[in-house]
Amino acid sequence: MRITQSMMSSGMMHNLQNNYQRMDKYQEQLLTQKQLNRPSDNPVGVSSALNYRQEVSFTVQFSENVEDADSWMKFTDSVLTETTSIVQRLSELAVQAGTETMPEDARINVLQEVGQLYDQLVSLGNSQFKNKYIFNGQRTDQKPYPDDPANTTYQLDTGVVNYQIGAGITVPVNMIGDSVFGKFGEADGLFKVVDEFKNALTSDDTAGIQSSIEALQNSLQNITTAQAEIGGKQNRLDFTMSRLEGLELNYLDLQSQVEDTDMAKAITELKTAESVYQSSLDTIARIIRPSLLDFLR
Amino acid sequence: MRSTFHNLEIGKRGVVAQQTALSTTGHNVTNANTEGYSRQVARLTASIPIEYPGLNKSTYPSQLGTGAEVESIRRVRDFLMDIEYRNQNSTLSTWQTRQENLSKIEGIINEPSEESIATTVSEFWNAWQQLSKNPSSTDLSSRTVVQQKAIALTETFNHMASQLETLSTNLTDRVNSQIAEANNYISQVSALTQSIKRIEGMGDNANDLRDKRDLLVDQLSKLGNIQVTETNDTYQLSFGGVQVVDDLQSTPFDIANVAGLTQGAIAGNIISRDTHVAEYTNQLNLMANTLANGKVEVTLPAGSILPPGVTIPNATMDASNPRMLAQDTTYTVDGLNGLHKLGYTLGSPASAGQDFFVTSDGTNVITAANIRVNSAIIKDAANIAASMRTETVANADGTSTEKVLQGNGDLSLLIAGLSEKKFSFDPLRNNGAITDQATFGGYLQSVVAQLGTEADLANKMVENGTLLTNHADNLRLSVSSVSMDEEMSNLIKFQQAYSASARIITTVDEMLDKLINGTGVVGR
Repeated sequence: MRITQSMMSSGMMHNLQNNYQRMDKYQEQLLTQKQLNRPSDNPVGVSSALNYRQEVSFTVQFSENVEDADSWMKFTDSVLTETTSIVQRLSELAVQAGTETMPEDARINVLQEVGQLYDQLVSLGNSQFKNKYIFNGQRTDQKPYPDDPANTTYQLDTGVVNYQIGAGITVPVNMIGDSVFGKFGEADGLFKVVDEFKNALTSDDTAGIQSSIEALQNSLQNITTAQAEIGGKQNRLDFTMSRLEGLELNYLDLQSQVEDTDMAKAITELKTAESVYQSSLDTIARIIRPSLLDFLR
Repeated sequence: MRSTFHNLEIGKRGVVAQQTALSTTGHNVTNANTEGYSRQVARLTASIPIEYPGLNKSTYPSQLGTGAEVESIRRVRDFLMDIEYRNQNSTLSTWQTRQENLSKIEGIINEPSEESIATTVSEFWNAWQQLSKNPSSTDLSSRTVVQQKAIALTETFNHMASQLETLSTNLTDRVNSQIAEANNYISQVSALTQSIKRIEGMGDNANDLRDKRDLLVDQLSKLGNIQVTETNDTYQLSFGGVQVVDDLQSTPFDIANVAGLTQGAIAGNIISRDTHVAEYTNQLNLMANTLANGKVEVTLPAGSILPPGVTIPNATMDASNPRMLAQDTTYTVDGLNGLHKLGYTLGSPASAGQDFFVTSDGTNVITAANIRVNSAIIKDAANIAASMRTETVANADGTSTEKVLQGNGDLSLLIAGLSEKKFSFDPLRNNGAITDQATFGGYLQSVVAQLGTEADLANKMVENGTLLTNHADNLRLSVSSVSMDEEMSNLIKFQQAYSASARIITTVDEMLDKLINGTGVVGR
């Protein structure tokens, strides 16, 4: 083929442009730290990157939910621990007061303490976590336990509060009051039991006091069961948390693999592109100058 | 019988002919960088010898040469290579335009980034989870987050739709101005054709004008598919399948014939506008509408109390409360709007949620351009429904009021869960949905992948087309462009021939001097 100056210069410009574009590509990768800057950079990769980003975002949210659920349960757990010690104290008092030999004025002292403990139990039953009553099901904005134990019409809500901790997975975070304290106003309800104990103390009814011992033990059993359930759920949350952390790491890793620039590779490519560009310029400089004109005369 | 001065004439003819060739060489050298210029050669030919055969031919030995003359000055150019170049150029220009516009769409869709739809949607779903944990009026901040993320989402949709709309308008403007540009070229081609015809009618070659015309046609081929039909005395040019130049006649290209443009920048812009911009606008519309109204199956939890007037076919209702679901019930709702209406806002007495997303222009169909968060929700985040239970509370005056159970966040949990659910992407209208059933995120991913693939294809076609066009151009240049080395050697060649011709004259002069001054001294 016949080659002329204009062909060479247009060919050179074209090749220079190509080299320049290659440099631009790797410079962009290095400056943005991303090898995916637009969908066409890698259509399949961008699609997966979007997926990973979404998964990371969801996983972070689930982790936050797990933490919130965990702190709610920790709080419930500490309320239950305190309740347990109060009921244990009540049992001790019942055992002391249940003996025939206890003098009456001593029973009055006991009665006073039991009265205080009762009030404390009610306030525990009305515990609030972040402004929410924790034992009233989904009626978190309403106080569950009235001060008057005779109020038997009062019903606790049994709605379950669920937090989402995974794709399609929820965990109930609240403890229903009834399952801790028994139904309010009913014979086996803790408040009723303590109230009966108070009445027995007031009326010096030894038999009544003794039957309170057994009832208190039953209530204690309920609370312990509830605490065990909370413990079990917390355990599950711990597992979930470590799994979510693993997942997040995994997704971040995958995302980084697809999206992020392989620095070593990009720098090498850029350096190569630069040297190719340099040598193209060099070559062009050598080729352009001489023509027949230079050798005439 | 030849003349005494025959050789003088030969020498003169040689000088004239070589000088013409030298001029042509000079013309080539000075036009080495002129765009569209094809090198010219002076075709030298031996002039007609004497004697011409005839009845009165003398008896002298005949066919005596009479020297050289310039038969014609021609440009060196291959018509077929022009056709090849222009075809490639048209195709390349189509893809260049498509690539440019797809890259603009990529910029508008803006994935992957922190300000894209994918990000705002993920944040939107997460906001509902946040709300599901704090549904009551004691903590309104979670509601505000849902409200703000929803506004961000709709604004992202609106913004992208309006950018696509602007791009579409710009493309229309561009097509119009490119047609005007094409018509400008066409009228110049026509004017040149008339001049060429006039010049060549007198037997000359209008080389430079032809170059100019061919250059214009090259430029025209960038705008659209062209076809040149040329015979010895006719020249016809068609643009977009319409004959625009017919010898001395020309008609401007009319926008009504735009469908005939299958290649070139104008076609590329039209494809970009009517296929690509329309496609991604449609996909955004589909996503916006499906999010708001697309059918999706959810499981309503047992104990949920349906708003008055809502019935769910085949649901088992609680014996004590005909509005309460006795068991978990799967139900297909009409998108987020349909689901939102199954719950209650913080209002008292309990009121069911309204449409979450509405149109800003009062039409029925939600699009990416008109999707907006219900103004009631923008005004007051308490109008977001999160709860699915109510309770009846007795008032002091003996009446009772149905109130929302604030601690119930079931509805927001269900809405957050829509992120994992498969929506129906408009199987009824069937207007270009990529797939019928997909999660919102999954659908978005396939739209982005489609855009990426199309843009990637355009990039490769441009790369490819550039190579082919350059190759075709090189083939042309190989024939037509000026080579300095060649011209320089010609220069020397013609210069030497000129000198030699001049030497013939000198020789004849000496001969005649001898003849006239050195012989026949008789009469002196």
